[in-house]
Amino acid sequence: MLGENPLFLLTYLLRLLRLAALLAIWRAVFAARGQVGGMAVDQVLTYTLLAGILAEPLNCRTGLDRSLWEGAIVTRMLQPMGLVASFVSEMAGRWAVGFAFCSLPMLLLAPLLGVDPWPASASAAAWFGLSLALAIVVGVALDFLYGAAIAVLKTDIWMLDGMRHAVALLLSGAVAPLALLPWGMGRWMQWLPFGALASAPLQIYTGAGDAPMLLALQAFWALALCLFGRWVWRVTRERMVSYGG
Amino acid sequence: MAARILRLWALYATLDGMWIARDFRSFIFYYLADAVTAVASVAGVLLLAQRFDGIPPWTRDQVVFLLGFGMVARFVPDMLGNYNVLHISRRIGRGQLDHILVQPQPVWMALLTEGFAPFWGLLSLAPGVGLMVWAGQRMGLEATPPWLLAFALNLAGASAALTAYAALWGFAAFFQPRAAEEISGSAVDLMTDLKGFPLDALGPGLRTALVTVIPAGLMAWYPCRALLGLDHGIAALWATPAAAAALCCAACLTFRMGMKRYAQVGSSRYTSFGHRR
Repeated sequence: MLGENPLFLLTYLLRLLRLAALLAIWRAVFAARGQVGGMAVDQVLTYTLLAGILAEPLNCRTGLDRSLWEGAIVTRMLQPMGLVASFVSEMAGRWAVGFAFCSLPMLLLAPLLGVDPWPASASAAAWFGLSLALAIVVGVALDFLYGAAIAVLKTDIWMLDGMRHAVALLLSGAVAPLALLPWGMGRWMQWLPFGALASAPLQIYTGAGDAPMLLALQAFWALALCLFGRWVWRVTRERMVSYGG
Repeated sequence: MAARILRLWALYATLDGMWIARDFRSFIFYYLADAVTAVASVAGVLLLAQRFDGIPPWTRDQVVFLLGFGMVARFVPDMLGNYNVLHISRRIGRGQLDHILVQPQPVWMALLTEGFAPFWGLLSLAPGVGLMVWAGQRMGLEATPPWLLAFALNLAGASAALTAYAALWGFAAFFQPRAAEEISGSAVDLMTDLKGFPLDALGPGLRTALVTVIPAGLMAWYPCRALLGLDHGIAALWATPAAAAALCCAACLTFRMGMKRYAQVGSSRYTSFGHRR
């Protein structure tokens, strides 16, 4: 992995800078304010820190799109292993590297950044584990649906990728807690599948959300998207064209 | 020479237009995706500015202007540097510089013209201009000729800073073609990912780093501070164009060093670590 992307340290530096900028912005906007949208500044800072630490699991990228674009999907299909298992195991390997080189240093830097990294309570920590697992399932299902869309549209993946990345970051609550969006947008957005990706686990961790309700919603999206994704992928794989080259 | 550049720009603009409009579905799809990406990438900060009535010390309208400026400053290098001209490390790392060297024109002219794609990303320009005009009207900004000149200089400076920074890193591919093949992309990300953030609340060390080592602050934050009167010094108006000029000079020097190296070792395209390995 490192050989394939030797610039990973620059990517991690960017994540750290983005985190520092967001933390500074939250402190600035929360100055002289108490709670906003039911969240206190400490909760928002912990939320933002955790979003930075778990950036990869909260925005799952299996690499299916690239594999389709480069034609490597063909060799994947010949392997004696399920396609989902193949991509997910590789993705987990990438996360391990990211965790060691970026997430762990971020966590260790938390006191220096003036952020309390601990969960709101022991029960919040326990529910968070389950919520994160469900978020990953939803993320993988969405990624395979995205792959199916590429197979159908047969178009430039880079433009689709940019659009997907920007929209998912906004709607998932990875940049800003949905509760802090204006006009009550967050109340509606949390019902979307994107809300199950980042907003739900981070709300549970910081004690800012109703854990049973959020978990039930995540479980619904996980089940619905897995079934739908499985069906869509089965139908569209016959229309798949690998480009290669 | 100017006439030749204009002719080449017209040629590449025609090709770009033909490519975008090759069929109706692609036409709609590209513009829709482009507009959605552009708006979504700034929507987070925009919505927060609305909810909190600004991001101190910036008012809401100033934040909106900053976001618009950043979008337009990003559009210009994309318009002039498409097809991997902005991501120059790819061309060098993949040994595609040979494709330019065999052409009967100077390298600089090829790089200045062949990435010209005015139709590509056009819908990311419209929201940027719209945000600036809207915010400017709400702020009662007086677009006097000196202000417009300062605006144009700062916008050109921000775009040039991004291009030069991407090139500066990208020329590392002359020395490490395989490892540095994607380095321009990382440099562009470093410069543009923070373009929508007012960076005032960061500590002085980080703020200094973000206008020098990683000059992401030059993309919108620093020039907009000067243009909107958050920084009253006249020097602030010139800082971004001056920094961009310095970065361009550094990029030119690095390019010359890289070309010397290239003359010694040649293309890596068909070697065991090259693009066509």
